[in-house]
Amino acid sequence: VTHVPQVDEDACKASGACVNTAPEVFELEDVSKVVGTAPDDVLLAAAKACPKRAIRIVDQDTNLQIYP
Amino acid sequence: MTAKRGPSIEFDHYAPEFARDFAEGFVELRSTCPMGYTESHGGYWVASSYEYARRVLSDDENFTVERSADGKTGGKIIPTAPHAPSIVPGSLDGAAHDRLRQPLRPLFTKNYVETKLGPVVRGIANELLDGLLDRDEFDFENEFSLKLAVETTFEWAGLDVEDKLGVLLMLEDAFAIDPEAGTGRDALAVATSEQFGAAAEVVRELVRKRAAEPKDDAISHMIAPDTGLTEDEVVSLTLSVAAAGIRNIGASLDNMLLHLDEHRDLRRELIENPGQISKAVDEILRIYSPAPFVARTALADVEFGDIVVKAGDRIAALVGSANHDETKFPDPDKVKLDRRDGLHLGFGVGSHYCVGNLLAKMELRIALETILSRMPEFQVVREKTRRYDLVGTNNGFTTMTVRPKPISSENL
Repeated sequence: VTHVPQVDEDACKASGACVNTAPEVFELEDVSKVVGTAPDDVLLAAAKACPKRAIRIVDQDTNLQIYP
Repeated sequence: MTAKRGPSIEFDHYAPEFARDFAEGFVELRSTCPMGYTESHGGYWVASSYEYARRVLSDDENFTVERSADGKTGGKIIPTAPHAPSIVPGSLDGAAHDRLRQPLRPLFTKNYVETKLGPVVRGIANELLDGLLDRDEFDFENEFSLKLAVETTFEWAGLDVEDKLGVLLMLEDAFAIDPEAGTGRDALAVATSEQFGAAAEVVRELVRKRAAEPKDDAISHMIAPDTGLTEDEVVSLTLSVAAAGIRNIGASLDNMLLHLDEHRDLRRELIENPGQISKAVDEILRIYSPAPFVARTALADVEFGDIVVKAGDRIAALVGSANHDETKFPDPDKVKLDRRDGLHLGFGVGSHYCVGNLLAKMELRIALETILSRMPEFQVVREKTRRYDLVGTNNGFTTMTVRPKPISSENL
């Protein structure tokens, strides 16, 4: 796994969209937390589903931001 | 409409063969035809691989859960039950769905579920077992599983009605989710519409009471002014949640007991390491998928490899097969406590991902902890245990006889 999601906890409004898209990756309390991993396409879909654009996808090896 | 959609398959989720064995029944279908078309019940596509089933459930732009405007086609069950009231928010998409689902979210968080409801579930489980452990044998499904699920869900909602089980059975008929109704669901929905109206009135009274004098329960939270929900919506949400979650809990508990009856080594391991019980629960949910078949309707032409599902076509995610897909879950029929193969589809995925999944998992975990500590040597009596004949809606049991203490060999 090279791509990892990062949640901007200040921007997160706990809509739950990321949890629904990738329940294996995110868990929701007051804000969304990263608790697991998934294939890149699932991570990207979860990030795109966020209505607040609070999820960044970063390439762990290169530190480059993949999304948004 | 008469054009052959191909590749055609022999498939019917209400056939007895479907009920026989998930594990082996779908191996061939999955490997030879992961997207096939059956003529049963007016025709529908069956997505049986993990990849395709997940796509069908995730892609809510191309697949809808909603019924057609006249209510006669579409929806989450096949064939459609036009006379059943809609389960909300599960039967809606888009903004209308999100508006109703959002107020439910705080009532199903891990913290709410564990700290507020955990002790309640433990109390109910212990109380039920208090009345059962002295018996030689009892009906685990009807005297434990179903009661635990009903009591917990009604407690969550704050539905303090007298005849809880009676209300549940009526709701199942009205919503057309009676596990054994098969294709007769719509007729049941018609027959129970009056009782449904009566039950809705009972709930409406409660909603009004809680609006005036809030308690710390789901109805009070839903009717609070900040949610923006109307009285009608709170009534619908309460009835829907009461009806939707209960059978799946019961079925999973029963499957868990049967599995641990067949796999004594796993039972021993869980008794020695109760910390592993939550992992075992998740594996049981994967292997015995309580809701094995979930339908949608295509809104546009969608390609799966070289197969095109046409706009308007009915399509089902065969969760019971996807959860056994060996390319996703190696050694799929085995409970592996160290499995790290990613998400199973037992709770669905996408915008309709089970809102109550954490409550369900907590209930199952605490029930099993209680059972393993208080009747660790239980036996399931196979000849007095009967799976539903039809499991297309719910992979559960009509009855399951359990002996809390093993019969000693002298008595045989």
